[in-house]
Amino acid sequence: MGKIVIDPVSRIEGHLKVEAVVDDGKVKEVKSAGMLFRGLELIMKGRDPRDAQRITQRICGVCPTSHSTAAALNLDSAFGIADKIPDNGRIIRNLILGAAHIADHILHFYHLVALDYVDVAALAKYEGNNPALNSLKNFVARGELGPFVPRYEGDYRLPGEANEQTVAHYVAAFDMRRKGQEMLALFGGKMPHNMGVMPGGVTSVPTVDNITSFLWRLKELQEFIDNVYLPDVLAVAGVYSDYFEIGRGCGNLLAYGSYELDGKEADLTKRKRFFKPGITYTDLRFSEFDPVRITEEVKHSWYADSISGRHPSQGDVVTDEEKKGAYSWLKSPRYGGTVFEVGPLARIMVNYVGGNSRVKSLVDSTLAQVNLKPKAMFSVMGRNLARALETKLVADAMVDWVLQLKPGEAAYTSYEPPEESAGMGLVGAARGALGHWIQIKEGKIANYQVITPSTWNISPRDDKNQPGPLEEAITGTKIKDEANPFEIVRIVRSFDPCLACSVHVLSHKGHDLGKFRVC
Amino acid sequence: MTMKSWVETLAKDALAVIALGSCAAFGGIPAANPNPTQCRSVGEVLQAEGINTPLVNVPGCPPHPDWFVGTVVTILLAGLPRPEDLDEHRRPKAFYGQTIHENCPRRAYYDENKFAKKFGDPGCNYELGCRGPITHADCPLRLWNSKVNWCVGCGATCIGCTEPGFFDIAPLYEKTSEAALPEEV
Repeated sequence: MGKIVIDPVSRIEGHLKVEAVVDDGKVKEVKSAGMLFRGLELIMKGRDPRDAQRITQRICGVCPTSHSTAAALNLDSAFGIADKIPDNGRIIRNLILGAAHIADHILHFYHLVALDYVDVAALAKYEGNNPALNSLKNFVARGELGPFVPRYEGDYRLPGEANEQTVAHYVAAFDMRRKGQEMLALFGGKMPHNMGVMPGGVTSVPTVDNITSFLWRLKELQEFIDNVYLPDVLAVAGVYSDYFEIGRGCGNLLAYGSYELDGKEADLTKRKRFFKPGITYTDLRFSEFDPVRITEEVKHSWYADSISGRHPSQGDVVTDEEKKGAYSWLKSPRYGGTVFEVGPLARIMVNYVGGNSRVKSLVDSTLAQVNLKPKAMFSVMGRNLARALETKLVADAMVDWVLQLKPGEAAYTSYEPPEESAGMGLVGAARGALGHWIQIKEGKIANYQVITPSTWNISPRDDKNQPGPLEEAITGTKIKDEANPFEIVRIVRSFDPCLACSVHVLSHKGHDLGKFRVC
Repeated sequence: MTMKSWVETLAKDALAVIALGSCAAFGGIPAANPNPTQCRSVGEVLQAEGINTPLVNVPGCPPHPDWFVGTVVTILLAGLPRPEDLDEHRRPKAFYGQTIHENCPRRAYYDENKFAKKFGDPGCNYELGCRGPITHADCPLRLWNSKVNWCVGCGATCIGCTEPGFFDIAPLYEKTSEAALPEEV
């Protein structure tokens, strides 16, 4: 019996530690832990509620856009203006969020995940005349392997030409991400930390110029998504098809829903959204989602047990660094006491079983190409594929949305912030379900709670000792080579974890992290 | 290893330290009131530990990539900054030498007392809480994300993200008091 400790896991955002006990070539037990605490929720208390939108974005520089959206929805509901956002404002928010998502998913596949499957070192033997590849070849020849090591060895299977092509796309993808961020900045001012999304709508106004500038960039991204990104994901999926059976996880999927299609319905759970909220399981039945059933448990987290099991609207942050049995700064969010995975896979499958015809036909036609059934989506490769499919769906929808903008009409509505109120903002962030909750008293923030997607996915064991989704996904996995545990990092990265988001609270004492293996 | 020990270990023998971003330069959001984790800026840690390595602050939330690359290239080409190259907060004057307000395309509105009453209105955003008059950075000239836009360009206010303690100065949408304005606004 041996222990594999990966700390920190690289090519993710933040500081994640994974500890796996391996017995007879199989993972017996896993602990995934977030190792940083900042206390942002404590910093929110007593401030002007409107500042929440600016502060919460700073939880993370990778997905600030999702936080800006969740905070704006949260404040809209607390200010009683959720049904008064002008269509221009609603649509521009969708465009800002959509631009962030497509840039983020492209980043995830090419710059974070692909290096687990694509062999950049093989470029040493490249003899063609692609300038990007020759530049990388020189880079490798000089021994400057910076972004590509450390890595595991022994399981890079893409044939020579496909491998080279994917590496070339790794380079091209930088340009695509840049364009996606430019799209976002056209309406949001800048990325990271857009300034456009506000309670009441957006600060920017649609003009013929920003619509046109957005659209030509979007068209380029659509071409890349259809002709490069999706084919590359399918090529990797074909060669590594065993990863449709690895990392299944808890099998319970939860989605909050995202992209507002109806500005007149105040209730987020009833509002028509491009991706509907809901729940599904490996048996592919659909259930409605009710936010009242969300709780956060802390038995195995460095927080006082007295705050365990609360709904986020009543949530609190009371640290207990010396707590026995605790191993993470992440809490354990649960739904009705059950473990749920969130993310693009959840959004796609919830909508697949929930009657979203656009999603159903795209999933069916894609799975037909690789000869698989929908159940195969509950896997490492299924998560990567779901992300690519979502990218296409959002990019295609944005073409329609941007053309619905009406230059000259309002995109923002004024309001009077209330003295006493409460709100909730739920959105599908790039990595999954993101929720913000606020209580306002005497015109100030009395309490502000955030549950991020990675808190759901990377959560430690809960009060009933049920492992979190990532822990569950790794447990039972066969490890071919314990010195090169590809299986573990491929599972981890399929969740696209973002730890800066999950633990908004830095331990000044530090903890004994044991053996270091940075991969 | 804690982050504090990383800073101490690496800073001791360095030619210079660049504190990149408002957290490293000034403590940023984690150090905002009540500063739950007792966060400090790199400068405060160096001072407390008696480390005299030259320090350059490149704040911003986020900092503009050009500010960082420009600072590194300037040091490589011209050597360490002379005292007159940095302002009172150790920011390179080349990037932080003027206020947002001095170069703002909406400046003419301010001079003519035409103020936006809500977001999306034409006019100067001063009454909506814009901190352009008290914030040092070249955003209106440099612009962001391949020069497509910037904060005030999308109709928003400047929130003063390059200034020390920017989240504790006042609520972000409260008009900056006239007493706080520099003399020559």
